Formats: sequence, structure tokens, C-alpha cells
Amino acid sequence: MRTSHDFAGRATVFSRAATGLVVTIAAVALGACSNLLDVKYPGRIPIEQVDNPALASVLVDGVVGAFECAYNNYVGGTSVHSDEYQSASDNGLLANWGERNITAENDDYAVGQCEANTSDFGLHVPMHTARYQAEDVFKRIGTWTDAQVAGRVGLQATVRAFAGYAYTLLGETYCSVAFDRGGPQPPAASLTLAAARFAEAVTLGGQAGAGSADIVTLANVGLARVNLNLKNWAAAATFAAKVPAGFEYFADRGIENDRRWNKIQYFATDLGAFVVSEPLRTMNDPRVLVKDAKKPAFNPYIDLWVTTKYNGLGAPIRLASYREARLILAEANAMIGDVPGAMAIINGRRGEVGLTPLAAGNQAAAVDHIIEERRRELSFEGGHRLNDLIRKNIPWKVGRNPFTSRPYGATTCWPIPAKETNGF
Amino acid sequence: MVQSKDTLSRGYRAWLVATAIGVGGLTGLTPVLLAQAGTITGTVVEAKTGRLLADARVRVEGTEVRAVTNTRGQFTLSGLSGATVQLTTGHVGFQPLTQQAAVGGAPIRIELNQLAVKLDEIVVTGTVGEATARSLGNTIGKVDVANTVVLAPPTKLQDMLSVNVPGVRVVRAAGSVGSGGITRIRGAGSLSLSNEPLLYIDGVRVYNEAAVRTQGFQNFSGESPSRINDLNPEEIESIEVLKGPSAATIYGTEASNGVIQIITKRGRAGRPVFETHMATGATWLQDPEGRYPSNFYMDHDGSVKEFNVQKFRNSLGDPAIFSTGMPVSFGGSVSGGTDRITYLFAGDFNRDEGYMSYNSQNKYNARANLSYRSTNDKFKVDLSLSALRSSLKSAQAFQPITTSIVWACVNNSCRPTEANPSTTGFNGPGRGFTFYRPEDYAETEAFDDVDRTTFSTKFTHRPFPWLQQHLTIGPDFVNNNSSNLDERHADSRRPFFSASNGQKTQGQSRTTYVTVDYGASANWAPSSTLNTTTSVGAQYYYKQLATLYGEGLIFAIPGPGDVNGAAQRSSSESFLENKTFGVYVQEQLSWKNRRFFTAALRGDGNSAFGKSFSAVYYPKFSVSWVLSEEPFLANKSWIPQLKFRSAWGRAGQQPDVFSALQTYQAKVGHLGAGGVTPQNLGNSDLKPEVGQEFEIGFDAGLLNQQVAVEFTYYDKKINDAILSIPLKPSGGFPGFSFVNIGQTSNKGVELALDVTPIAASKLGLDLRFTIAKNTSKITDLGGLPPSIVTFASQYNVEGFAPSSFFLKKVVSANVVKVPKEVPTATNVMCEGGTDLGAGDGSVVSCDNAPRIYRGNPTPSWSGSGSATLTISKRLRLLALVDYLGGSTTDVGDVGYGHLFFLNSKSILTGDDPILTGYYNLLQAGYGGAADAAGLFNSGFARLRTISASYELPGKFAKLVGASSGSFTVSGENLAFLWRAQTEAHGTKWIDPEIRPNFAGDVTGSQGYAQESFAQAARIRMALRFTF
Repeated sequence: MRTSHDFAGRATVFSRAATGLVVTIAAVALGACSNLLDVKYPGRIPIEQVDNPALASVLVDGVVGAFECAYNNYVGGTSVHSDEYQSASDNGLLANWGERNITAENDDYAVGQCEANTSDFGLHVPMHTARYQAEDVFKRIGTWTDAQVAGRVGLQATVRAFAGYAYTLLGETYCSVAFDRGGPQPPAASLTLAAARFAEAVTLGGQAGAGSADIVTLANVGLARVNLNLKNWAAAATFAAKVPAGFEYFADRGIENDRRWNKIQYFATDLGAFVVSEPLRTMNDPRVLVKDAKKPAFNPYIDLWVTTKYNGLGAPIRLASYREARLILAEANAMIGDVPGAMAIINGRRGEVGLTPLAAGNQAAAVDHIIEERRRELSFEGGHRLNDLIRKNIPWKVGRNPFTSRPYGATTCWPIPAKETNGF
Repeated sequence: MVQSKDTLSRGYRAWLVATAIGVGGLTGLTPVLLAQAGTITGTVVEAKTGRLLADARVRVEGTEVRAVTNTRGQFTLSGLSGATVQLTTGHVGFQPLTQQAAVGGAPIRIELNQLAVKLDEIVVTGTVGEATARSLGNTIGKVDVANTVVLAPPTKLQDMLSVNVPGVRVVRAAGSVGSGGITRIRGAGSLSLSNEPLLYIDGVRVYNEAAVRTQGFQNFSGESPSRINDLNPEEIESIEVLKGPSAATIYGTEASNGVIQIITKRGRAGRPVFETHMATGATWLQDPEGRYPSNFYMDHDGSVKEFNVQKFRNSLGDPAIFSTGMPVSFGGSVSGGTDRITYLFAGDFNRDEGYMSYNSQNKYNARANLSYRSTNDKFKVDLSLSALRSSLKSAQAFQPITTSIVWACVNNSCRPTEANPSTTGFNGPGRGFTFYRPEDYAETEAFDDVDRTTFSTKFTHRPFPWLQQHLTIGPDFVNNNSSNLDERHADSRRPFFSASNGQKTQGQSRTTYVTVDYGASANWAPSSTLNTTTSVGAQYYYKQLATLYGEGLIFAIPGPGDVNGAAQRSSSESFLENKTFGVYVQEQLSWKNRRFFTAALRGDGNSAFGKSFSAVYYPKFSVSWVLSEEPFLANKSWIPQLKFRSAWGRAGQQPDVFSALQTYQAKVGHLGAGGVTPQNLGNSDLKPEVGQEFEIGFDAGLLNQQVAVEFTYYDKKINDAILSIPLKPSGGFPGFSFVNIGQTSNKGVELALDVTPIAASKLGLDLRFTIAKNTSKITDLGGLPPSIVTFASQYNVEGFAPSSFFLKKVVSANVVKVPKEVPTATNVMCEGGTDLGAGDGSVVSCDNAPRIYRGNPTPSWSGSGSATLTISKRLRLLALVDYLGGSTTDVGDVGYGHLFFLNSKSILTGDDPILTGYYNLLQAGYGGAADAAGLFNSGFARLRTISASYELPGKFAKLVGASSGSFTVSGENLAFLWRAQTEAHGTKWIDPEIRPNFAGDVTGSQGYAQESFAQAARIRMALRFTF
């Protein structure tokens, strides 16, 4: 007959043995559980895998793609914020864009992404991602050799050109700018960086040869644009004059993925959240491509007016062109004092589209005409209209939005988002 | 609908067949309790209700003769001699009863009274193996589901938790069928991670998402379904709730928000027991025309006109928007077995219908539970298998009809023109509805289908009396298929915006949870008074969530379309995987089975930890002291039961999956080619949040078991709280970085009081009150500035509850009325104080006014009160009041109606200077003004349930061949007893019991509600029989 002491003794032994065994197993398991706890993460690329010269062209495609998506948001956001569009929706998130109500706290603006299904016109994150990516990839390519990467210099020219455009857009319409988690700087700092990146793009593109000719021209338009903003009139004229007739460079769009959908087409034309402002509807200028869609806008009691510059979600958006360069040249000439030369440029273009010539008796009148020509020629593209509103102190839409009765806000240039100020 | 009727009729037939089988099966099986010489037969019941008690132990004093009651409460004692014997009857949770019985006499009826405190009740959650409640140093919430479903049948499983366990609060999202709600235990402490407790069924961890991302529910109204409601209350025996880290230490990482364990019914040895039940009733929206406030517009002469879109619709003779749903459910089970093998098979069909004609849910639940016990009782296997198929048709579609009711006459769209005063918005095609008319929903369909299988196998091995080990293995598979279809519209009204040309979104997700749980316990008794239990164990958890999403836009022709046929298509997929491995060791000392000390340590590794962090360890200590069994308190009738308990422990909450890794992601690049772009900055030092909790309290049975008191004080801290800090976008990586730098605190008290003032043989009255107070505070933000949580002016600020509202508060304004214009204000003054801090009562210009604390969305008070009157043991009448307080909700329906859509009376007349002051702030660019104008104290006390349940007399039950039966009529949500606030600036809120439940709101802290459906009123009649 067993006694309780028998059990007790065995229990003690077992208890200790079991505890020791399990603790040992646990320690071994925890120490060697790298396999036990390994997980798959498809779609996520560890940073170490990116540093691979074989991926150079993929990285550059990523840079261009990132810029194109940022530019798409930028064009849409700046267009509806300027006097080109008015909100036609009671959806607060959307309406804010067209009613000058984008503030530093607005997350749709600050951290919205490119995908049309998840964001409206997120400006800040996509543009800085594109800028960072262009800088990062340029450095990575710089550490690789020509033997490792075919067309290495041309790829560097490309990423430099798109970095230049990212800096340009930030410098044109932001109230102040910040880079790489740094403090705020005046917009001119961004434009100066843009000029430097464009200059490198021109140099590297020249070294790369004919295959980079378009990138060199793109960078020259960028240099003209940046110098115009910096009021370096002579330089602006010099670079603008280098742009060959007929040149156009588009940011590619596509229908296959909502990241690539043309957002003016999606939010304004398809969704009807914004309608073309009334002054643009009656200009009778073939360059101002608008029409009455003959159907209700987002709010069904508003008539939908749309631009026909874009004919679908896959419609590309012009980034730079000979037409833009000519207008830059005209403005630079006017500012230098060559009013007749400036007027000759814009009247030449007006004649091409069947419009009567304009006259200007002085520099100010000429510039006013040029700004109006820019409004028409460059409508719904490039953020040009918002840039002109800011740099030329053109009156903003004020009072109330006639379509929704809500008052316009006070936003002019884009504020630095609170997430940039308070972020990590 | 035709299909549903077919389904229904098939279901009825199935029920009838099941009933017939039950009746037929009983023929010849009905027990004949005829006494024989030397025997005593009888039945053991609960004295108060007459409920049959299984597993009661009946012992003949002075002999070895004893018996255990079967599922019908019956027992037989044989081999007796003499004319009378003394019988002692015991049952866990009941007072033992000794009485005299005649040998060979007629069957006897033994009535047991419940103990106020069930010290010897078995608890399986948070313990290694089984433990008695007396040994636990922490409180365990327990819900007797099997009994509750009879008296107060719940619509959803979540409903059973709120009113039964103090400190546990399920906050209902909305009233549409299928909507869920968040579950909070002792407040919310996590600032960036989930605040939901873990959910287990029969020992295996299961998918517990509180706000499922599904295409069937548009996100804005915050009515996402909760996966906890997949479970069928009819299958559940009981629910155990561990309230915090001190109780949940052995669950380790992820358990800091507590653990809910669902224990399903199992068969008992004996002949087959058939149980059937059916219910039907009605669901409706009370006073829809009055509940939704009228809207207003300014006529061309400047006068303010009222417009009630529902009344206007009625005047046109159009069908009412809201209808009466007719839910129906039926099901049954068969259980029984031998001493070695027991079984339970159950099946249920439940069709719930909401007050929107297109909102319904069909649920089919099936369960098979088997148990095997070896002949030497050393080995036991418990199998549980459950299956669910749910087909839910959502009330939301593209956007709910409530959108068009709330925003009727938006921005003066009802205003006639001066040229033609008869031309108003409500005379146009929209008839006053903004965007959508009720008939437009005929061209939409939103559904959410779920197939779910949960399997649990538990092996229990007792090789020696002093040793027990168990292994629990089981998966939970959830497949979710959801869709939202907006057909292409034939006319040009395009109420569904871009979807008017046709849109279909289709989402599929596959969730897999796997649990492997091993534990062993060894007992050793060094002396007759001291007992020790040493336990060790290891657990492995695996989670995987894979989703696939497709969208198609623009169909060629009106009518239904699919993604394939759409002109524009997009798709996406996601994959998340997480693994946890943990081990624990626990030592418990017991002295005279009334003093207990427990110490435990758990270590965990998790795939979400950063590279620089390998494992985390969670300790625990607890004491329990049954004072009422100490000599100095023994036999005191005024305090027959008293247990003191206290516990300290830690448990964790793992970081978000993959948040530790620095990654790029593939994204479409130039010309549609492949590209990559920065995705996640990562944090290689990331580790889990560590919840640390101290609790102390007591359980007491007083005044001859007439009063039971359960009191607990707790102090819970989340250390190393993970903050999702927004990254400066200029750094190139988007989104957030997770860092362990914060600390939050939740302190509070919980009280449950049960009183039985009347316990007569023909009349009984039971009262139960629960109240819980929680004070939540962020104690450390790691030196970071306050961070905004949502767009609705919610911030995390040190010294305040997480996700509190901080808003400018207008205190005065001078209204300026301009003919035919919305009035404006001058000299708008606000309360002063600290920006993102407390107001100080001073008055400052609103231009520079601070955003001061205005409340937080998580309730700080919750409670319930119920009274159950039992008449003649057969009729039970229940009234249950549910209370919630100390929470604030930003009601967009009201605030944005006032300031953004300008369709309220107050904003158009200018009769409310404060409101007009807020309007001025909005015009000046202060976006929080609309939030401030719609802020509600959302406290309420609601008559949650009234019911009458009648236990049918045997002769009636026998008419259908049943041994017992009951009939219950219950009502739900029929009245408010109290509302903290009914309107803001003259506009009512439809229901204070709406708490947004957004997919993607990880912390569940969103406090902004808009366009939600109010809670439905319900009446339900239920009939159940046992054969």
C-alpha cells in the first residue's frame, strides 16, 4: 500500500524534473525560435534588397512613377484650390479642396496617398516621397559602376530631372518648405535646389547622349521655370529659348491601377465633386477645353461643367512643353523690358488658335496679358494657375461658394502640415 | 426573398422533423420513477425556479451509498435498509441540504438554494487546468449563458456581456442588423494598438476582430460587424472573463486587454436529451418621424421653414421608409451518452430582420461536441467542432438612407426661387432627400457572407492522482466574402455619384488562427494542511489574414453587373502573418484549502518584435483568503461567505504586425512598369506594450446567503505603451513609426450586488445591481507633443484620457442678422485655459482661444440593474436596465447639419448665439467648430429588456411529449429612463447608443458618429421544450 509520502516524494522529483525540462525546452526554443517565429511578408521588400545594381532601372521607374503620382495629385489639388474649379459637393473632405479650406491639420492633404480609392489629392507625402526617392536612388546609382548598370549616367540624369521638378512644385506653391525632417525654409530654398538638380540633369544627360535628349529638354524647361520664379529673368529666357518647337513631356497615366488614374478626370469629371469655374466656361478660347457635361454634379442640383483636356482616367498630364517655354520667354522678355518681343510671342500663339492679337502699352499690361495667356494655355495642368495666383497676387475666390453656400476659407499657399511640424 | 421563404419553410420542416424525432424517441423512454423496496428515487431542482439540476451529488449519511443526478435532475439510491435515511445533497454553487427520506416511498423532490458566492465553482480560464474559484486571487466574470438565454434571449452574443459582468462594456455601434460594437474591459489603455480582449472558445484562440473590414458595410457610418457575434448563444454553457493583466498573465503577449473564454455545452451521461426552441417577433424603429429631427431651409423671403422629409413622403402616399422586421429562429440539440462517451449535437437557424426591408441576416450554426473518458479515468478527450454559415444583407450599401434623411434640404436646396416660389427642392426628383431616395436602394445590394469553422481538441491525461497534463489543439478558420453592388442607373439622376454608372466591389478574406497549448500540473502535499501545485506549460499561436479585393466601375447597361464586365477594374491583396511562442511556470501554495498564494512567470517571443528584442517576461503574484472558513469567522450566519483576494501581474500587447521592419513596397511605376517606393520606416527596437495591474477585492455572501457582494479595486498601467508617431513626410517614408515610449493608466472600482429580499416558496424576488467606474489617463507621452487621433478633434494629451476631445468652447457671441442670409456673429468669446488642456473658466477672444478638454468617447461609468420576480416557481418576470455614462460623442448628424449643411432651425434663425458663434469660427477656418456644435454627453439608462418567462406545467409539456417546456415573451430597447443630453443647439440626436465602429480604427477610439441607424426596438416570443 502506497503512502502519501510515496506520492509526495515522487511528486517532488517529478515536479522538479518537469519544471527543469520545460524551462530547458523553453529556453532552447526561445533561443532557437528564429525559425519558429519566421513569417512571410509578401509585397514588403526589406531595405537590404533594394541596394542592388540589378534593380537600377526598376528603382528609376519607381522614381518616375512616384513623381508622376505626386504630380497627378498636385495638378488636381492645385487646380481645384485655384480659381479653375469650384466645389460641387457637400462631402466635407472633397469640398475643402475647392473652398480654400486646406489647413495644416488636414490629413487628406498632408498624408493622403496616390491611390484614387483611398485619397483625394494628397500632396505632401507623395511629393516628398518622390523627392526623397529621387535623391536616394541617385546616391545608390552613384555607388555602382557603369559595368554594373547599363546606361547609368542616363538614369542619373533622369532622377535628377524629376528631383528638380519635385523641388520646383514644392517651391512654387508652398508657404514654406522642409526637407529630410529639417526645419522650415523659405520656398526659394526649394527653387534653388531645383535649379541645381536641373543643371545636373542637363550635364549628365549631355554625357549620356541622344537617349537622354528629352530629359535634357525637360530639365531646360525646368530651369526656365525655376529661374522665372526666382526672378532671374535673363536665365529664364536663356533656358526657355533652348526648348525646341513642338516639345511636350507628359506624366503618364493609366487606367489599370487607381494609383495611375488621372485625378482631375476622376474627381471632377467622373465624380462631379468639382465643376469648372464660371469664367472659364465662357472664354471661347480653343485652348480652354471645357464643356457642359449635361448631367448633374456630385450635388445633383448643380450642373456639371468639365474639362475635355483629359478624356479618361488614363489621360496623361503635361509636365513641360514648348508652349510653356514660350510663355516663360515672353514673361522674361517683358520683365527685361522687351515688351514688343513679349507681345509678339503671345500674339503669335493667339494667331495660331484664331484669336485676335492683344496690345500692351507697358510692361505691366504685357505681364497681365501673359498671365492671362498662361491661364488659358496651361489650364488644368502643372499647378501653373495656383503659382500665378500666388506670385502675382491675383485675387482669390472669396465670399461663398455659390454652389454650396459655404464660405471660402483663407488658404492661399500650401501650409506646412502639422504632421511635418510635429512628426518624428 | 423567395429564396429566403424556401429556406424558412425548409427550416420549419427541419424543426418539425426534429421535434417528431424527439417525441418519437421518447416513446418508451420516458422515465418511470416508481420506487422499489430498498431504493429512493427523486429529483433535485433549484428551489427558486424549479430548474432541474444535473450533476448534483446525493449521499446517504452513514453509508457509502451515493448517486449523481442525470440531465433531468433524477437520481436513484439502491441497496438501502430501514424505513428512513438521512440524505445530504450537494451541488457546486448551491447550499448543501440534509433531509430525511423514506426508503421505498414515493419519488422525492429535493430543492437546493444557491450560494451567494460560488467558491467551489470550477474555472478554466486563466488557470492551468481547472481550478476552483476559491483559489484565485483575481475576480473572474462569469455569465451563465444557458440560463440567461431562457429568460432574456439575446439578439447578439455581445449583448450578454455588457449587463452581466461589471467592468465589461460592449458599446453597440448601431441598430442595423449585422452591426457590431467594441468590447472594453476596464477602459482603454492602448494608444495605437487594439483595445479588444482576446477571445477563446473551448481553449482555442479565435478571430475576434471588433470592426471587420468588409465591402458589405461602408466605413463612414461605423457599423462594421464584430466577429464575436458569429457565435450562437444557444450553444454556450457559460462565459468566463479575465479582466486584465493580473488575471491573464499566462496568456502572455496580446492578453493585456483581458480574455473572454466561451465554454460550449457538452453532453452528460444518460439517455438522449432532445431540446428544441423556436422564436419569432418583431423589429422596428420607434417613432421614426419624431426621432429624426425635421430639417429647415430659408425661404426666398427670409423666413425659416420646417421640412420633415418623412412626413412629406407620407403626404405623397409613398411607402414608409422604415418597415417592421420579423425575425425568426429555431433549432435544437440532442445530447447524452455513457459514462465513457458523451455527445452533443446542435443546430440552429436564425433569421434576423431589421427595420429596413433589405437588412437581414440568415445564420446557420451547427455544433458537435464529443467527450471520451478512459475506463481508468486517466485519459480524457474533449472534441468541439462548430460551423457557421452567415449571409448578411447590410442596411448600408453605398451610403445608408439615413444620409438622405439627416441631410434633407442640405444647404438650402429646398429653397424655392423668387421667380417661381413653387419650385422647391422637395418638389424636384429628389423629393427633399439629399442624394438618395428610398427607391434607389432597389438597385443596390451589399452583403457580407461568412463561413466559419472552429475546432478544438483537448487531451487531458492524469497518469497519477497528483499529476495532470493537457494538450489543446485547434484552428479557427473564417472565410469572408463581401460585396457592394450599385447597378447602373437608367436615368441621369446619379444618386450614387461615380457608382451611378455601375460599381461593384468584392472583397474576400481568409483568416486562420491556430492554437497549440500544453500544460502540466503536479500536486504535492508536504503536510495535511499544505498543498502545492507546480505547473508548467507552453503555447504557440499562429495568425494569418489574407485578403483579396476587386472593384469594377462602369457597366455597359443598367442592371446588375460584375467586376468582369466593368470598364474600369482595380484589385489589391494583403497578407499578414503573426506567430507567438510562450512558456510559463506557476507555483501555487494552498493552506487548509482556504489560503492560497500563487506565483507565475511567462516568457514570450513574437514575430512582430523588433530584431533587437527577442523575448518578454511577464510575472504574476496573487493571494486568496477564504476568511469565512477561518475559525474566527466560521458559522457566522450574517457573513457565511467571505473571500479576500488580491493579484498583481503583467501581460502584453504585441506591436502591429510588420511594424518593426523597414521596407519598400512594389508599386506601379512609369508607363505601368514595376517600381518600388518607400513603405515603412520600421523600428528594430520595437517590443510589446506591457500591461501591469494590481487588483484587490472581496466576495461576500451575507445575511444567510440573501445578499452577495463582489467588490474590486484595480490599478492598471500600460508601460512601454506604443505610440504611432506620424513621420515627418519630408523624411521620405510615409505613415507612422511605432515606438515604446508612453504610459497610460486605468483605475477603477467594480461592484456587483445581488439581493434576494423575497425567497418564499410561492414568490421570489432577486435584484442585481452592477456598477463600474473607470478613470483613464495618459500619464506619459515620452516627451512628445499631443498628437491628433482623428479628424474629429480627438487628441492624445498627457493628463487626459486617450482620444479625448479638445475643442474651442464658445461662451458668448452677438448675433448679426442680415435679411435672407444665414446670421453671423461678432464679438465671439470662448473659454480660456491651456491649449490642448483644461479650461479655466476665463473668457477670451475665440481668435486665440485654446482648444480645451470637452470629454472622451470611452464610457467611464457603466452598470446595470435588474429585478426578477418569480411567481410559483413557474413565472419569472424580468426588468433589466442598462446604464452607461461619462462618455462624449461628436455627432456629425447634428454638428455638421448646423454649420456645414445649414439645415437646422437654430443656425438659420440665429436664435442660438453660441451656435452662431461656432458658425463664425468655422468661417474663420476653425474646422473643429462643427464638432463642437454637435458634441453630446452620450450617457443613458435604457430599459434594455423586459421579459416574462413561463415554465409550462408538466401536463402541457407532455402534450407534445416533452418533459419540460417554457414560453418567453421579451421586449428589448423599449424605453429610455434617462438620457444625459437629448439635443445640441436645438437639434436632437436619434440615439445616444451609437458608437462608431470603424474598420481601420485600430484602437476603437473613434468618437465621431454620422448617419448611423438607431437601436431597434424588439419583441420576441420564444418557445422551448426538453424531451
